[in-house]
Amino acid sequence: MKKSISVSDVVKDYPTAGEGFLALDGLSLEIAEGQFVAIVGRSGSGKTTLLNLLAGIDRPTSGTVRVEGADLASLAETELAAWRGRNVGLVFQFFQLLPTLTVVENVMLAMDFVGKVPTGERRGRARELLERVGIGDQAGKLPATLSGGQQQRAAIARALANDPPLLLADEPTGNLDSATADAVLALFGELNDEGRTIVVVTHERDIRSVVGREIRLVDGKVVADTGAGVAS
Amino acid sequence: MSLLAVKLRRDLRASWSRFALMVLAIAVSLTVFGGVLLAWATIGRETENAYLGTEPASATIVLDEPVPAEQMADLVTQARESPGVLQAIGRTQFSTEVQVDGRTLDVPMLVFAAAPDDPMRMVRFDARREGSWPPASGEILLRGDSLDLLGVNVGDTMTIKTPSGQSLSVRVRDTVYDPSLAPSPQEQRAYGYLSTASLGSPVMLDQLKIQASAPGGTEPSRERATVASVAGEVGDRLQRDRGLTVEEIQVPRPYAHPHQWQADVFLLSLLAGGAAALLLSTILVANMLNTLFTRQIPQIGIMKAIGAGSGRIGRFYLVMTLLVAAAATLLALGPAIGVGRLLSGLLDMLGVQAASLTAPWWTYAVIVAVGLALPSLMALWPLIRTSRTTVRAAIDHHGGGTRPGKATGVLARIGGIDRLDRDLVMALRNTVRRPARFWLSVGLLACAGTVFVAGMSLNSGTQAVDEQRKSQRTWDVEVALADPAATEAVTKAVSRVPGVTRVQAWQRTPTSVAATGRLPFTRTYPDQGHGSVAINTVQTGRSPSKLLEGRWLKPGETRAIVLNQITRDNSVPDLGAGDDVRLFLDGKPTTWRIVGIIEEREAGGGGVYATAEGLAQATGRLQQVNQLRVFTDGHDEQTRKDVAERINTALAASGVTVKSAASISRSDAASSGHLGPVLAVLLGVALPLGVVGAIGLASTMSANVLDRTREFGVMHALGARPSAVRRIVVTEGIILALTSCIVAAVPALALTALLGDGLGELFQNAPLPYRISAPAVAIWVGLAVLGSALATDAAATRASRITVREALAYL
Repeated sequence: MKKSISVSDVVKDYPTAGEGFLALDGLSLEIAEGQFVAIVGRSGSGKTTLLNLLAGIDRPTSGTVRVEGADLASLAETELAAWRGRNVGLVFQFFQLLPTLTVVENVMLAMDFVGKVPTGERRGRARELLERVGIGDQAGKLPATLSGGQQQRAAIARALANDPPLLLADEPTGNLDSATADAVLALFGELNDEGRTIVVVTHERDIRSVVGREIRLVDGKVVADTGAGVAS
Repeated sequence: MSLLAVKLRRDLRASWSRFALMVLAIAVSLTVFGGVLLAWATIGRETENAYLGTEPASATIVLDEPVPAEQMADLVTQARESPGVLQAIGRTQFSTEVQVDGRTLDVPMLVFAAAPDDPMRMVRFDARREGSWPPASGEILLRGDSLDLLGVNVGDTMTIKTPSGQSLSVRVRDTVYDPSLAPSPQEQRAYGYLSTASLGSPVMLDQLKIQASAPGGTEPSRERATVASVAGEVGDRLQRDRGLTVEEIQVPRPYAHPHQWQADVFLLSLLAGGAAALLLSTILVANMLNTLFTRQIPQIGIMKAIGAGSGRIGRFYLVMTLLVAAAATLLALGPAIGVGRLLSGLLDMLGVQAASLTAPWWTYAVIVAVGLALPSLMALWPLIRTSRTTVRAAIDHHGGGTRPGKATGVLARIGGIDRLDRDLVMALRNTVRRPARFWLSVGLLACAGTVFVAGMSLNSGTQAVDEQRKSQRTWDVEVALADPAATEAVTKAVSRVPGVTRVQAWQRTPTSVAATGRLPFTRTYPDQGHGSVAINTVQTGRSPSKLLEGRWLKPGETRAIVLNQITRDNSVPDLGAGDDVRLFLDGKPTTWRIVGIIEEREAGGGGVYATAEGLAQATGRLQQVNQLRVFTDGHDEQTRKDVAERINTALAASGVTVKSAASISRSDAASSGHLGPVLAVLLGVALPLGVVGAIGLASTMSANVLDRTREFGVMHALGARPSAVRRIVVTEGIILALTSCIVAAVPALALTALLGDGLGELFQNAPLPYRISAPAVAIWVGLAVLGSALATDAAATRASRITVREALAYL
């Protein structure tokens, strides 16, 4: 199966006043298209660092990161922004919606930046996506008036705005109650069923039932991988 | 509408109060800058047009003896043929006392006379041809602003004295507009215009006026050296070919109205102050925008995470900055035009009536360009830096730092003093927590304080000059005689007048100064008030003024003079003590040695001093006097006037003709007329700076409170009452204000010294005495503390109302 992500011998070292902090220590992994992968580990294990590298938010100290056919090291910041808009949908723990735009406008803004969806279709598509994640009736409201679960659904809709093949989520349920968290994970499952590659960073222990593959990190190294090279 | 435009509109709405402060800060300073620019351009244009409209002479060659009009016509013809002379004309002028209804007025009049057939191609008496030149014999035209000064109306009759000493009754036929002269009220001198037909025959003229150009030029030259060279050549030919004696060659600043420089100094000072305020306000706004951009970093991170590039984000914030700048510019334009019109009233100071008060188009273009470009340029660096923030940096951004600065660490030691109020200690540490913000606020307020205190201190300096002048003017009546008379006869006659307690007498003789072997050049304008020179006989002993070089005169010393620095600078600037110089007395050159240079503030005194013996030897006449200072037993205006009248009568009875006898109050009015605008300039600069400083303080405190939202929540959670929180924040503002006062101390002292030297030299020919105004310091400290309390109020109120829930939800 075609590879969505290929990480090879990646080291990420954060210089600090003392000896420095090794977040990732020669990590390698591959994720095929259409996989639903959970990266789990304790705080400080390197899982968020790995997600940032996959999204082109951060750069490795050494090693290569290829995502959706692009060697991220070869892209400049502006090229990375354009690449990210087309290929990656990002979901954050604290939702990160722009506070002064309504929910539908937040979704449309992502389309505006990338320009992939024709202008006339953007509002309709944004509404469709919001309907799909179950908050169509909240489209005209400002984010601050929505509950945490609704805001996260809006953030997922925004991540889907440009129909990216890859969804990356950093602790997407970390700020939600358990019922809402289950619903959000179920939504991810549906999106994966469509063939989208999904990588979720989480410290949830019971995510194994939802995802097809679980990669456990300890001190920046993969210590367990339930399905390397196996599509879900 | 683009969603970024929507976001922009909503961001502006969400932080409208901060944006309003930014707009206000720029608008206030742009109003001052723009207003002054409009006025300066308008005044410059109007003054030049009006002055040049009179076709002023480039130079006036004054003969020691007048010549008949026919001979002058020959001289004019000869002069026109000289290289560089474009135009020439013969004229005369004289100063006279004025009598109305048999009463001698205490205002002298300068009378300009021209032949009835004078074509008025140059040195026009009547720029707008209102007064229909020439007036008939027995009629006089007056400059418009001389009517009030003399207290006469058109149609009234007055008596003047002709150069030959005869009384002449003239009727005021009309007024004229002559913008080539300084205003009558400022100079305390009236201006009249006569046809030589009124002066009887033969008509005698003593001035040859020329317009000079560079070799081969067709326009009058703007270079004084060129004019002096052309006029010198004409003067030499008059002496060489015609055997005439040139008394002096007057070459004022070409193309410049006599008071133009005052308006320029005034407006350019104000413009510099306005520009400084504008610069400071844009720095403040750039700082406020930077704070705003910094707050938006998480949003920038999100936008980049969903595909926005740095360029797009940069353009977004540039549009935000431009909107602030555009709003401020739009807001400032109207008031700037108002300020410009107000300042254009300065044209009155120049005696110029404006043809139009509409400023040139380019001034509006400059205001708009400066208003839009300056804030954008200042904000460009923070804008680029913020828009380049990477997603990673944005995610790591946590807003206001929690790590205290070094200064806070130093101040932490103060906490060890038990008696200090804990709120005060906390306020003190918080004030210096963000050093850049702290210094910006302190700097802005300190700038305003510096200018305010310096302005008021300069006012104290000018008051000190006035007081010094008053303390030196212990006499009550000044008398000028028409001709020199024997000292003893004059003093005896005056001493007998009831009310007179003491008389001082000396001789004052018009002269001109020239370097050895050269004709005497002066910078005198036709009104004679800007650079005329006279030699005064003096009592020896101590120098009456500060000695700059050499020494004062010795008793009975001959062939020795002391010059003041104004006369030296106006005649031969490189002269010094020990140099020989030529003084022209009655047109004849006499050689003297300069023994000293003294510092004086006013040019009107004559500028050259010699002993009575020295002058008598040089002129070959007995020691005589023509000037008196009279002390009276009462010092009220009525007594002085009465005594002046009685002296007039007593001297006339002794056969001595009095030119003028007047109370000294008129001289006071003439000398205080020039310096008033200085204070207005500095206070005009301090005002916008103060507003910008207050806005800076308000913005700093608002940003500080926002940064510490969580802290205030925690304080409330720990049981702090709103009033306690409010007190801490207001105390922080007051500490900032007091710090700014301390910081302003040294710059205020330095600026006072600098401006006292510069403006004193410009307006009074000598540095102002160094004074620091204690009331100004007290007023400013009071204003700063009060202003800081008011400016901090909004932030303090907000801090005191932050709930624990709000604080904990704040990222």
